[in-house]
Amino acid sequence: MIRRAFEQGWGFVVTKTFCLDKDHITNVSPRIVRGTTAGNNYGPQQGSFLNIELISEKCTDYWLTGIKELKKDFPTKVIIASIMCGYIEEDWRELAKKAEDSGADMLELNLSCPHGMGESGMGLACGQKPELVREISRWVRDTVKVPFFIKLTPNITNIVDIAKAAYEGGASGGAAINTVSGLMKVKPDATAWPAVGIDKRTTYGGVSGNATRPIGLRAVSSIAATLPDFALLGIGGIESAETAFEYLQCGASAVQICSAVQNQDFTLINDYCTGLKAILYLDGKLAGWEGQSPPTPKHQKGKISVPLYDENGKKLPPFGPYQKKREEQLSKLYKPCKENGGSDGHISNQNNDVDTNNVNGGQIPKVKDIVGRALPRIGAYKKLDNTKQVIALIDDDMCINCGKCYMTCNDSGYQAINFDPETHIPKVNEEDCTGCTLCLSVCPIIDCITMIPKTIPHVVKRGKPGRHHQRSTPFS
Amino acid sequence: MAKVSVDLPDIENILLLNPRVHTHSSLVPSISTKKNKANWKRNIHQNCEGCYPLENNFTDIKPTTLSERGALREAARCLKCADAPCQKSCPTQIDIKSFITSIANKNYYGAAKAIFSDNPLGISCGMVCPTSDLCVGGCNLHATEEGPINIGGLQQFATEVFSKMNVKQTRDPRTPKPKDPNAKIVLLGAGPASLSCATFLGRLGYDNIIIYEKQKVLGGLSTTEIPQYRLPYATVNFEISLVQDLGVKIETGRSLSVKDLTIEGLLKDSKAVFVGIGLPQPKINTIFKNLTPEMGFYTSKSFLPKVALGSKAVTESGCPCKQNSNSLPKLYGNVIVLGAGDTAFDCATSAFRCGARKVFVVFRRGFTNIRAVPEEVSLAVQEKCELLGFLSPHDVNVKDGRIASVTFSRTEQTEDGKWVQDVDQLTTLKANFLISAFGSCLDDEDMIGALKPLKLNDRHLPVVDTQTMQTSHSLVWCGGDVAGVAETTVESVNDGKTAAWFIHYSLEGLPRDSKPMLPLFHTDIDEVDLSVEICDVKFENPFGLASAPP
Repeated sequence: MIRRAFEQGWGFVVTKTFCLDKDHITNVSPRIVRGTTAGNNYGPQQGSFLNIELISEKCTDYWLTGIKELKKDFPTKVIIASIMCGYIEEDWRELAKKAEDSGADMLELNLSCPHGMGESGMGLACGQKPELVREISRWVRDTVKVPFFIKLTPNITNIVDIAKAAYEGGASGGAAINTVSGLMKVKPDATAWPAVGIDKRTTYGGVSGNATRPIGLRAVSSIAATLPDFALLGIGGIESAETAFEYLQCGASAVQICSAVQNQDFTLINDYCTGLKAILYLDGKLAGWEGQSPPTPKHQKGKISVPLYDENGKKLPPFGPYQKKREEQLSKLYKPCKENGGSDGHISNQNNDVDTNNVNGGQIPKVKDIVGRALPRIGAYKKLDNTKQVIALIDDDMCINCGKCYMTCNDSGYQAINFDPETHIPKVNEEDCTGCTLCLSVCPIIDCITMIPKTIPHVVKRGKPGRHHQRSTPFS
Repeated sequence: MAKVSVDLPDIENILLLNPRVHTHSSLVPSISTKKNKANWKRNIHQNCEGCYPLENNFTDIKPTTLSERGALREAARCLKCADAPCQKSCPTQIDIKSFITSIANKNYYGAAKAIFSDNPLGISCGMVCPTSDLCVGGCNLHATEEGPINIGGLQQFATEVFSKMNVKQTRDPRTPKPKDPNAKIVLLGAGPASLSCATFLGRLGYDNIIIYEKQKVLGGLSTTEIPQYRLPYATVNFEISLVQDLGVKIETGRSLSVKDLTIEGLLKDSKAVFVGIGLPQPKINTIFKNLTPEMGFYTSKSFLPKVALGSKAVTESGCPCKQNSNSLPKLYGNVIVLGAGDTAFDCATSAFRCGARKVFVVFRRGFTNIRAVPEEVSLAVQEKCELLGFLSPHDVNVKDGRIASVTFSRTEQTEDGKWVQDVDQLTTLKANFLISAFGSCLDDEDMIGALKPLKLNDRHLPVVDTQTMQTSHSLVWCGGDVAGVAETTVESVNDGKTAAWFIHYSLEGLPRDSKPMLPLFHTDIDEVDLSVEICDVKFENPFGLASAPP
């Protein structure tokens, strides 16, 4: 499989974790199950997975020979050997040395497998205690010359403490994050999934995929901010060039991918490479673009939507009697000029919205220029500016009149949106909007709601005790 | 007792339309709902007598067009199947599963690269392909309730986003130079077949490619016949600019004719000639022989180019009325369109935009024999075209120098499957205009003469080897409508692609069983360096597999 991955263009691999033969394991089945984090979505593109698969079942020599052969066939590709032992110095020294001798470019010490291995004193059992991580790092640093990473678990109060211990022990870097310990699904018959054996027992497993990305980004950015010269490999929910770019900007120098391949196949690498090249190429070049997404023109169903009003200046939405009025107006607008007595109000059949602005010179950044670029903007709450408030603005030409913004503002927000009973066009009351952004978060239409600077003075309504005078606030 | 925790009146007012848990069944008399629902109808066209006219409105009517949201949702729904049937059903073999993967990942460049790599006219085809019988026809999601993927719409979306990135097509510097990069290659007709052929030859490294076009405008059928509301001129123009990025030269006002360019003449200094001139003349029923546009008679070949050029902003002015609205045919009243192919339905929807009040599409066989793709038919039906089957034109009744009505005889199918006309059953339809759309042919003597020495078939078309698109002459290839295989834009594109390879094969003198190696679409984006050094170890790109089994 590694050979096939290299042939498709993957830059590096981290092997499945292997161990000394005396520690060998046998897996249970079932063990890799669908995620439930994206609702009742039965594929494609599962939002997460949970697995209770342990490390490799293959013997040490199998792996060492494999690495040697792969290195021979693919000298320019990078192989990182992932290894695991108990908290035993000789074991770590022995396995690390063997892995280095097999030709692996780097090592990754798996101190973070969240299920099963911990009960044998391996994996997570070593990775949650800074002293052990420091000590293991020292042993390995003392044994091998190649760089090595510690694979870090997110199942801990502060991942930075573990990263620091690894750094102090001499590790070259960290790989974050391993899977997040979880219980994915409990069925109505009181069995959890995966259910193993006649007893249908389960154990806490490792959650991976898209759903873990916020945890991974938090881990990587916080370690990168604390330990600037500690190399980081980002892991957790990377499923595109765009999501990889997030990790790079948070301080990872490269990323590892697994769940996304489970969802698809090795050829994804082609998409990731063209995608990352395009993001780098376009970086800062086109005004209003976000990555490869152009600014959204005013549209309905992807077709340019012309703002039209009734005789009282009220916006006409595209349904019912209003749509009739729209079509009446449109049919006049499209009439040839001379019949219409002038060109006023005429509209174009063309959509000339090509934006050729070159905002940021011609320099195309390298990957290393991007690494950690977002870190200066990530930090303490106290550093956030509460004098620059925003409010929501709804674009009624793009609105599809569902009222999602209205309902969430009513029942989870601050009751600041009016919903027209006739046209179902929502409107934000500038004075009442607290800028919470919940409406934008639930709106189904891209860029239909934007947050704009609040221009009127920001007066916080604190409420008066004893009198129900204030809009209720849902969060404390 | 009144509750003490009620909100202020302004808030209660806001909350009026907020959902509430129902404690009782809702009772509204039907007569009220009939009235109320009118306010919320989004299907107002289902039954509308008084629809407002579409005159001069050439805005996009494709139901497949997608916004970014629509594209992302549709792409997420795609299964990205193994050995994907969609790709196998695409005449140009676009790697559809991979371009949809890229769209789902917001990698629109990657998607466009995959599309243009196999189909240089990927935007046009995304817009006009009859996908229901091509890629979409094979979609495995047909097996699910939610149905197949809108592949054409996705293709259109990704390539249109790319067109806004301001990135030029370049030749991949890794493509080996051909033996004779300066070999002169001439292509006749600047339509889809030639543009595709020229693109692949350009990618292969040929520096002396020239396309000759008869018209002043480029794009062939895409510009002169397919209406603006299905395929905008800006799109065609963009695709032509991609061809020109590769150094392909284009000269207008030059035609294949004994009076201008002839195959024999071109062969004097060209190493290869590609004929992609389409089918320029209409097939005409003899009973229409003496009818003229002044009398209200058009053929698709005289009507659609007028509509296309009048509606397409070829002069680059924005407002449709400011350009050539004079050149739009002025129609009114009843319009009868004859034929049941895609062209007939283009004529029908165009007729509305030229002022027709009522349009009848009349055809000789039944509804089940309609040749046009369902996409085109349903668009016409949506715009309230009326379809009349089993009628064959019998006579055109002219009054005061203008068409007044058309008499039809009934066509019937006999027990043994033969179609016969029954002239005892006549019916007459009032008409102000008649548009005949019975297909195209090549019968211009000057053009036929200019094809010498090519071997022609009984339709005066060059005989071609349908595997290589080579004609009877070893240095002349042929593609598109004039080659007799292609029936759609995308098939014409593929003719050009096929011919490009065999032209290269022939110029290089490659061995018989050589595997076709056509270069991919390439731009400066592909030259961006992704390598990164970590702890002094060089990574080609920053993407690795985690937990990889050996």
